[in-house]
Amino acid sequence: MLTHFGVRLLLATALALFGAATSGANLLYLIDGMLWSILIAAWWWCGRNLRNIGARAVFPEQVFVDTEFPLVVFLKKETGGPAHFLKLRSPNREASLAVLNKGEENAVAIPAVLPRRGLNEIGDIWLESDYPFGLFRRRRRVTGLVGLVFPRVFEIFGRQASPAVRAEEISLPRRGAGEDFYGLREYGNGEDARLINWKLTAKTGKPLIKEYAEQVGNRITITVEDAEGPDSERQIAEAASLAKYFIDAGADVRLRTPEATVAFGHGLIHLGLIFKTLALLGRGKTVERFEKPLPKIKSRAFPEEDPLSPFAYLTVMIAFASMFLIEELNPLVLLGYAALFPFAWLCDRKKRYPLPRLAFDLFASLYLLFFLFVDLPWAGSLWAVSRLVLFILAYLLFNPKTGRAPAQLLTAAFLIFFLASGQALSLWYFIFFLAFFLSAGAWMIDRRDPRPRPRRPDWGRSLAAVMGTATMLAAGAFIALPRPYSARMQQLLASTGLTRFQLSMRNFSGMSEQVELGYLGPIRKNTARVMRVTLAGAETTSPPDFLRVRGAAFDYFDGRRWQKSRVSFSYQMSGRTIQSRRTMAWMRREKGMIYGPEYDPQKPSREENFVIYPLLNTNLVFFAGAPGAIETNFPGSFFDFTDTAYFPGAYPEGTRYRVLSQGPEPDFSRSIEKYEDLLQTYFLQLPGPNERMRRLAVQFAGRAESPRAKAAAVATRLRDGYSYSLAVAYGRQDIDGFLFESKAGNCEYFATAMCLMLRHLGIPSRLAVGFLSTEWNAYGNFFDIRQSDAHAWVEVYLPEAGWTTFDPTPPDFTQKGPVSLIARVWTALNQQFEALQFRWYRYVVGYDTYTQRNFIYNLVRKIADAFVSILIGLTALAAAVLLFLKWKSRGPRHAWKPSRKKPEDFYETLLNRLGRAGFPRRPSQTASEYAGELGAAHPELIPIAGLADRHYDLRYAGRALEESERAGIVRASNEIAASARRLKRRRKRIFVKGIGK
Amino acid sequence: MTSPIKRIIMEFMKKIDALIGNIRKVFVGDPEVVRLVVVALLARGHLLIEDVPGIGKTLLGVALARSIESSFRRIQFTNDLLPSDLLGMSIFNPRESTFSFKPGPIFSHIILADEINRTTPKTQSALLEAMNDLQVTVDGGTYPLPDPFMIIATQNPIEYHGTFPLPEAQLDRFLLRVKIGYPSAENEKEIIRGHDLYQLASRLDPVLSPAEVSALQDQVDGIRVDDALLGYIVALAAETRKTKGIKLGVSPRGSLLLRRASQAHALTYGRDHVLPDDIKRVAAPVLTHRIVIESQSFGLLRIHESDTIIHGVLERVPIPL
Repeated sequence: MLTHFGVRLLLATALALFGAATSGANLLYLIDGMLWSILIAAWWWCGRNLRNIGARAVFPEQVFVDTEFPLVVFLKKETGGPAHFLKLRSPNREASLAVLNKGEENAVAIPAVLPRRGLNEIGDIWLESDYPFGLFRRRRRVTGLVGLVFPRVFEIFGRQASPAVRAEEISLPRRGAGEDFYGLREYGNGEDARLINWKLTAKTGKPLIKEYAEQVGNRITITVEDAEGPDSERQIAEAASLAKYFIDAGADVRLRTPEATVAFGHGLIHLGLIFKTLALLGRGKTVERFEKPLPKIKSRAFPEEDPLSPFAYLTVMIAFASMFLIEELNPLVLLGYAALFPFAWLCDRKKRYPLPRLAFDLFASLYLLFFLFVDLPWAGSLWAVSRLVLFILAYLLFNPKTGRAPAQLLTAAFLIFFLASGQALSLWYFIFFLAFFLSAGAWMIDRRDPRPRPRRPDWGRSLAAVMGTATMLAAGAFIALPRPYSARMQQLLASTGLTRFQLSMRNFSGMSEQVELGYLGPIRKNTARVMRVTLAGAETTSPPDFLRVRGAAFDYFDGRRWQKSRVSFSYQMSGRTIQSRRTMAWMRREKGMIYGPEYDPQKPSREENFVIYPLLNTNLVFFAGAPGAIETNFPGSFFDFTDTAYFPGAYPEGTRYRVLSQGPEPDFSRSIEKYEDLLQTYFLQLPGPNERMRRLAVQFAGRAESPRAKAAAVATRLRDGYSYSLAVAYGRQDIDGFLFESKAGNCEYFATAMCLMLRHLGIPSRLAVGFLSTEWNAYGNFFDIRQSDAHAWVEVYLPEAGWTTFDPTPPDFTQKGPVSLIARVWTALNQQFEALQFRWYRYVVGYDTYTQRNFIYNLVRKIADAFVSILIGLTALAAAVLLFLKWKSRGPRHAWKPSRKKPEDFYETLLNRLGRAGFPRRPSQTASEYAGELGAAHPELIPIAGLADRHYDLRYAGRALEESERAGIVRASNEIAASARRLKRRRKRIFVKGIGK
Repeated sequence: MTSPIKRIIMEFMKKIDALIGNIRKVFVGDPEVVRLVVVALLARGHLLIEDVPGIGKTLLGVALARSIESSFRRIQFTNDLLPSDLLGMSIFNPRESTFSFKPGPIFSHIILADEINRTTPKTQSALLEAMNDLQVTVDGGTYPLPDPFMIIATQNPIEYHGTFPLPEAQLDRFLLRVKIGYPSAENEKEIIRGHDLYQLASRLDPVLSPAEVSALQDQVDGIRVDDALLGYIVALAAETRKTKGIKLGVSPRGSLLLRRASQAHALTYGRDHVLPDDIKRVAAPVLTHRIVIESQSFGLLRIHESDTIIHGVLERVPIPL
């Protein structure tokens, strides 16, 4: 049953789902998955908490109808871990128990009332628990509580018994010359004046007579004539009352009923017997179940909490600290806010607060106005909302934590954490994520612990187990939750204004105009997806190992950056010669298709579908081979003399197009007129004479003769002799520095160096930039291309083949030996972290429907492939679990366990062996009691008594174990253990035989 | 190899055996009850025998008293018994014009306080000082009681009319509360065979002198108690304090006396060390009357409930091997 708090968490879950679905932020999916999992785990653990608890009730021996009595219920946790926060509940009362350890029996007394005479089963006692977090309240009926209820007993004075109940041989007590006080009455006319009690008369002012009861007789028979009829209950109650009265008066009483008689007797035991007989008369013999429906529990979602749990501060602090992950917020301002916590804690300790509540409320209203009318419109929602939650936090921290404040504090902490989750990207988030939920869980348990503080939190293991389950479920939920991401959703998002909270990655818009040395370094650290290339046809079944997506190429290098020369040229298109408009050579467009100058409809072409994500803000046409034709919504497309294709406008919102490529390299050179001149003019340009580089180029080229061989030689030497590094900052290192000093750099350095060296050798070449992806998605038949895939390489013009791609960048990321061990370890750690961060971005932050389906697709395929090995693995696992369980259920554990086994501990060893053979010693049994019990049950085991005596001698009498008797003891132990095992086997056989019948 | 204490114990073992044997000549009931009586004597404790009438409470007291060569008084407690009837009083001596103290029946080694709950709280509390400090203060004078001194009190839990239940403080003064229980069929046949057991008890031959009893009592403190067993005693006491159904657990005095009683119990078996079994055996008689249970019941039922609870405690606390 969901509690108020559970409903709130459900609402929070819905909120997280809405936020996640509309923004597509995966960290919100993570939170949502966690919240669902916590709900499920809490529900399961709540039930588990109640499982395996045996209940046994002890009725007091004197229970009367309609009279409240303490019902003592012994609860015992049979197996499993300890149970926490148990409540025993009857319709109007409850009793609680903070912890019930395994094997421990604890008595809980709960007041109960039974309305019916005779044997009753109490059916309305419930065992209830809302452990661990108070999200669910589950209950189990405690059954089998059967007890005997005595009939109602009332004062017999002044009552007339019904004719069916007779107390014979005496008359009812009456006033007379007894000793017991009977009553007072007013003096009537004509009575003997000596009866007047003068003391009382003087007190009251009117003549009073004090009367005494006459002594009753000695032998009484009480008869009940009718035990079944409609009037029987009243008769039985009267009989019980009479019996009580006469027994109290010291008489011998006999009971006669249609069903049973009780002989004369006196004293309380006799009275008990009479009561019991009366209780069992008629309908009293049959056990009836008595139950009342439990009233609906009206418990507040958040009972007060005073003082605030330390975990409350921790939770709020973690939520607050997670705000440091929002890159847009100024960490210094946040640090300033952090000073609130010690102050607030001090305030709570001293119960003195800086401002009265009223002043705070006034201030809060003013702030709200400021937020609505100034901050939100002017500063933007992220800033304004961050300030607002910080203000709320301060407001809550600096006011007394009474009433609903803990609930508000938890809500505020959750909102802050939620806000941070929508904004954060870093891997550190994951640590905050775990810490936040763990701490909040600890808070929720701690605040519901009924024991007074200070207390030992003994639920740590249990919390770890619950949160462990929840985290595992959350991982599953994160993977499995559908990611609806559509234009409609986007619009919904836009209408909520949440777009402003979206991923705040820098747009990636370089590449088209110029590329600076070192520019790709920082870009490559970002794994955001920029485009997705779907391949069709045969390549879907055997995808290439990698996909090289070309963007632009550059001809002019000024020493720092690559640029394009502005060149006009003429080109052949559909048999006509066309002059480029300035640098732009427009392609032919027909019915949505744009045809390149060399498109041949007869030639086979490869189909590449490009989806460009909004992050990529450029007007380049990317393609993976030679662009023959492009299918797009753009009205046209043009290329320039570096074979770079463009759309007429940028596509900031993302777009999609299809490329039919014919051939491996983009090369329009055959269509361009006077290409030889262009080659000579632009593709051999050098930033200036550089003799050192020329010599190096000659040295690298070695004895190679053809341009192809030379280019290959230079690429090989660069790949082998230089190392890859992303550590080179933008513009810090020029190309000489790369070639002669550091010998480390990222891809532009390699490509630039190779390009320049080839030009020194007189081979026309140019720098090309684009992406190199290896991330094949088998489910969707596409390559995912991320910012980190950005790459630069060299295109070399070979007379016999045209433009040909060479990639001088070493494929490996490893660096060559740093100097010191510390540096090496640091680098290794850094790389590990980067790799982790990379995976975090790729698989968590950038998780989407395709990745999801790809994951499941691959999983299913792998499972199908590895079916046999998985079967073997599962069998091994099951065997291991069975062994573990067997090991766990071995002999008894002892409270006083010696640290080291000595020869003197033979008895304990023997006990362990006997325990494994099925004869465990109860922890409360002494050695000789155990020996006696075993010996009585199984004569073969009688010798154990002798060993127990020897053990006592060694343990308590201070005798030492002599060498001579050691062998005897070992022999005797072995014999006993062997007989015990035989007995166990025999017992099993008997059992099996019994089943056979 | 035998330690000095062991030698002394072996010497006295015969005496203890003789004492037990002597009592069993007339008391044909559970031999364990007889042993508990001897335990109370050795531990310098007082004994409260509580059970239904007619199963030999008084007989047991008389038999013990007669088996020791000591002064013995039986005092029938009634509701008009006054403290001075018990302790004695100062009487004016006209010849010397002084008050001289005339000792009451309490100045004996062994007192059988029969039906102790029949007398008024005033008289009951007069026993307090005597039981605790082994001395009596009357009219400003303090008079030591003979050594050994032991009170064997009996009470009948069934009849509660005209009785004054013993207050907790008084109950705490008794080392052991013993239930005798109904005899077995065999034993009952023995009882009714026709011998006047009470007469027989009054004529028992003493087997121990007061000095020997004192010497035996001195040995009790020397019986070794292992540290783990002390831990067990403490664990038992702690358990009574946290057990549901017990309003008031065992006091440290209770734990102390449990240790003493265990030592005496070990001594009755001629051992110089305490075994876990000793503690377990004496725990119920030592502890049941020291706890206050949460129950509305009274009489024998209440005793029975306390017993059940203490046995539950013994079942729950793990015992050192």
